[in-house]
Amino acid sequence: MKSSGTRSAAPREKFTVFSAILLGLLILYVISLFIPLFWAFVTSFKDQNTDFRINVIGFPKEWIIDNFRTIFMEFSYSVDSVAGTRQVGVGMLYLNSLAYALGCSFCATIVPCITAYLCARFPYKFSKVICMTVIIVMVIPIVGSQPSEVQMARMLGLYDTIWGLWIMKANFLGMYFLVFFGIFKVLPKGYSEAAKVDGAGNFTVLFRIVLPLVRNTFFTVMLINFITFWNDYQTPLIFMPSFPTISMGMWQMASTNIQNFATVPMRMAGAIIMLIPILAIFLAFHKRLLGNLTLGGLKG
Amino acid sequence: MKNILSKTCAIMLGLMMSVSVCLLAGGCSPESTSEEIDPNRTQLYVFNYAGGFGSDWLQAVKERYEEYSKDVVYEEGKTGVQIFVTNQKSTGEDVAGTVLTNHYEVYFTEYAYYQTLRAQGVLGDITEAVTGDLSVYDGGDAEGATIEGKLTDEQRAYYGVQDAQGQVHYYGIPHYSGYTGLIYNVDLFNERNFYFRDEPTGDTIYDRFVRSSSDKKSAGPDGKHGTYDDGLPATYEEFFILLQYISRNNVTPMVWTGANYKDYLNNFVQALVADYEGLDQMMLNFTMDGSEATDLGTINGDGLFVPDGEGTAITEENGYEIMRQAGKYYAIDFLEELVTTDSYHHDLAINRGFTHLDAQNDFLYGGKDNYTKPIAILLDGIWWESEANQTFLAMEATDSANSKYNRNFAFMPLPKAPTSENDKITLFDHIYSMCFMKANIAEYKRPLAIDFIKFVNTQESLVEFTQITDTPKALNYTMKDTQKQSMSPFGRSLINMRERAEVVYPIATNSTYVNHQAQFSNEYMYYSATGAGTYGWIAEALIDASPNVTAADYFAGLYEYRKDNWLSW
Amino acid sequence: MLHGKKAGRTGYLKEKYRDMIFYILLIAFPVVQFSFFWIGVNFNSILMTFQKIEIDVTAGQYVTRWTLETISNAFQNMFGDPAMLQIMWTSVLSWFLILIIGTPLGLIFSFYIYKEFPLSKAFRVILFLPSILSAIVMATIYNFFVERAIPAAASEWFGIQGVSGLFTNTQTRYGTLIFFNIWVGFGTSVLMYSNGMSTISQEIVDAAHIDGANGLREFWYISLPLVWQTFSTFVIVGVAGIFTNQINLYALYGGSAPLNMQTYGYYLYMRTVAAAGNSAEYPPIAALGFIMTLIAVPLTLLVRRLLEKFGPKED
Repeated sequence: MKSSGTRSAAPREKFTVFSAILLGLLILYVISLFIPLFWAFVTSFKDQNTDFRINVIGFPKEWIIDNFRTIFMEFSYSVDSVAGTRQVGVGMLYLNSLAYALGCSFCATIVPCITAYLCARFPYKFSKVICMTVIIVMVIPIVGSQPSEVQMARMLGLYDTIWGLWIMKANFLGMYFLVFFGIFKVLPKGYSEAAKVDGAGNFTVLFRIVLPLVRNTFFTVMLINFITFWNDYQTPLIFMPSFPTISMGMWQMASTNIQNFATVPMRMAGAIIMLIPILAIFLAFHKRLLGNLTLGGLKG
Repeated sequence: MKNILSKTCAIMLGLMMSVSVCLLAGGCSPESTSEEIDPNRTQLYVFNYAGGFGSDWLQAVKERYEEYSKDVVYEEGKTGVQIFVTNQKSTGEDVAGTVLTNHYEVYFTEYAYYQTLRAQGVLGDITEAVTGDLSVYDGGDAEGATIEGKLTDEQRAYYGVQDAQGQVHYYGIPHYSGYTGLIYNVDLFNERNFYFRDEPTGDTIYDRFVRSSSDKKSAGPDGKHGTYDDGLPATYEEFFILLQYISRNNVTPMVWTGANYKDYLNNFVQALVADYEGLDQMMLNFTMDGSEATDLGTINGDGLFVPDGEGTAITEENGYEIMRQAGKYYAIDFLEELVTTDSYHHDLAINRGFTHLDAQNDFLYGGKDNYTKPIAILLDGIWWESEANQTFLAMEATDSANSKYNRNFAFMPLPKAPTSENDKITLFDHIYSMCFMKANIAEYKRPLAIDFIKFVNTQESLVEFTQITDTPKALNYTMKDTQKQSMSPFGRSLINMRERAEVVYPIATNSTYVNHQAQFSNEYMYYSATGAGTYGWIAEALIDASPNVTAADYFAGLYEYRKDNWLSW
Repeated sequence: MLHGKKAGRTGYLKEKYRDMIFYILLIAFPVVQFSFFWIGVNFNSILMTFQKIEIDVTAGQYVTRWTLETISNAFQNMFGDPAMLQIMWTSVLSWFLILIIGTPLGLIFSFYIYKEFPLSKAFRVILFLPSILSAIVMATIYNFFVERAIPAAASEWFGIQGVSGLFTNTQTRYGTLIFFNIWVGFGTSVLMYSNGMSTISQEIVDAAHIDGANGLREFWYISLPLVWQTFSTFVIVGVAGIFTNQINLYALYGGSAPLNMQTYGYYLYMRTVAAAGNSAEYPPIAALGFIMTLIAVPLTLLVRRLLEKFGPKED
């Protein structure tokens, strides 16, 4: 075998021209990502009228935290009902967000995972139907179904409950079905057959052997789902108005016309506030959620 | 090493987060404006759209109404009424799906499409409120005065629905108004003498304007000397001469939002069209009732507008013909000159990062902050003052002369193209604001809701609304000069103009309109098939189409597009 | 359970039977859930393709009748209206650009991370950052940055006057939009790809190194085939995206994206918003959606076929 590149029998960390180019690209990317974030950060400390209006890119003439203070001061979510108005504080907003995002992300991951396993492992006609359904559903644009969705939720008694949303989100549709399906399709049958020979039933095989094998993918998918649900304000806004989440609060603030909140520095301050907790959670857990992936894979 | 770094990082961020949570939860508790439910009174739950008009007006009427009905019994064991207000930012279209299941009983909202809501079965019958005598409240109404009497003919036809027996029922009534137009800085105009002179003293641009306040000004748009509009531009041509003159005086002539310039300028074009066409011709766009459109025309080979010479009856079958109205051509032509001449407007007038609030800010601060040039004219909706309230307050804090009651702004009468046969001022209301009661309100509360709706529309309440918001409600009423004294100069100028003007409410009852209401909005009406592609936002096509699209091209394309797509929506 | 060892026909049948029960037990919930929350909820919307709904003003009610007019109008609209043809072009072009720029970049970035080259851990985290922040937040920051900060920087730091915002300037705005989509879109795909690459056994890599396959060659001949499954999933999903992807237009432009930047996904969404809950305006939108489905389903299946046929064979 001849190779046009360097040829020494290198250790696997061998750094080639190709990798150098990649490094360059990645550094460019990081710069392009951090400059706007940095600008947003700096801008969030400016006063709109006396500073930002005439000083768009420089450092603040005076670093002020008033933007943050205003947001904190005014930040609460009021829930109305016949019994009056209830102010929901930030702590509760975080808890609601957590309950909503954790539950939904788990349901929205386990259901496609198991369904994909069934379809990949049991070659019934019905499995084909399911796969086809996933693809077709992904393609059909649906319009104006929200009212009937609300109606359905009310009819089944799921409306305005957190667990109701878990059930509503527990569908097998979407890309992650295909991801799991792809994995199960190529998963050597040896594992489960050996277990079966040892007398293990289908449930044992699934929960003791198969699921642990794909746990990395599972957690990754769940993480991605978690983030989506954490940032989602539309679904809770419509389906669980009594349990406001942090993103509903942020949305309420961001969509306001009140001048206090709608200036560029204030928006940037809002963005920073929204960004920090999720950044903290992410950085705290990224080892577990991202780091594992390179180590794990499918080796039992 | 890296490990420690990222751990530290995470811990730091975690700390920051917990600090912020503590700050939020404990340190400064949110301003509590919520009120408790009073178990001894009957509650009426009211939904209010938390937009530019705010809720101060509702707070005021709530207090008066609770006082008025403090001894009335609506349910056993309870005396008096508590109006329980919720302010939310969902428009009529958003709330429709939840009206029947929510606890709100009376709604004040905007962008509410009456017939759509009615077909969805969410609107309750409020005929009693609309036709009931308002004089019982001692709110300045003559005996026998009704809300119905405060509606225009068009509004009566639209909101009053005839049933199979020929009885008229009302399921909603108009609420506030939304016009887009020009707000000018009167202080600046006075200081810099931005007024046309009655007789030009020479041929240069400077000879056309007054030099001091003692010079005689031109008659202005109304053609009469000694009125409020003396010296203001009467024609499109004069308007642009004024902008040039302003620009040469080192003042920015105009500003508007860059982030929303497309819809703001579509709204502005519609305002120009209405003012050119007048009420009757303008209403044909919506009613298509077989009346004759008198000023249709086409673009000839030289790109010039040529009138048909004879009228065309506009019906639901040929409704697209109305797109050939002269007023539309002249308004688009006007817009072309405005947006394609850089010296006429603010640098950021089409910048997506320049919001309507930024525009208002610059308008208010311009010339007062030692950095930026003054700005003569703001293009915005009449609700701008409420949106800019924070800036007014911040400026007032340093100098009381900057309060909205001390700064002199006014709503400008629009100039007209010379061919316009309409000598009145015609305003265009594009906000579809409505008040309604939900269909499934508890039977014992129905009389309360009806009574409250009436109360909100007494002369006293209408005046109060106008005094608080500095804008008119979408009903016919007049105010005494003494009542206008407590308003801002802008509010006064607006209400004075409103009293002189006719208002176009873009509503109709024919099936085409009712079933395709969105297609008659300012947003969808101006779709045009131009040589450079199809555009929906006029200013966008004029600014960035390639190859270049002129006003004539755009105007011709309006008709093409509307005709090709008529009724295939 | 314990008799599994008993060989022969009865045992085999019994196992078949047990499999079937297991399958039914577990598939029941997803199927029921789907029936309620997809079919139950959306069936109406599909039926609307063949309906015309009108408001009867006197009765104050909707009147529905069955007709083929709606779909034939939608057909003409979709292939006759120049505006719709423009939207078709933009949808396809955007899909293509994001695919051919974003995907290769995502793949080589994943390779870099998988190889644990310098700073790869940090890059992995950073590439994922835009995905964890909500699209609205990212779009807000990006929008104001390219519109306000870049022109200001040009004039204040480099003395270049008259630079307009990148979204204001018609020459740059489409590129800026596509850039944004690629820029925030790495997270999931890089995660999936690097995950996939890491499943390769070290022996094969070492063997390849001995053969002199480093860098690009290793990437091309070893890593890429391994993530083919993931890659083709993304591509297949992307095909449907031609008709549904809003390419963040709503987050960036709200309701007024320029017509020549609109995609099908954005157009349909905005029409739904403009319908303002009015059922009378839904059938034409539903019909457009229906036609797109008729195109997208075979197209998706075709692409899947092609990817299967021409993709590298794993061995």
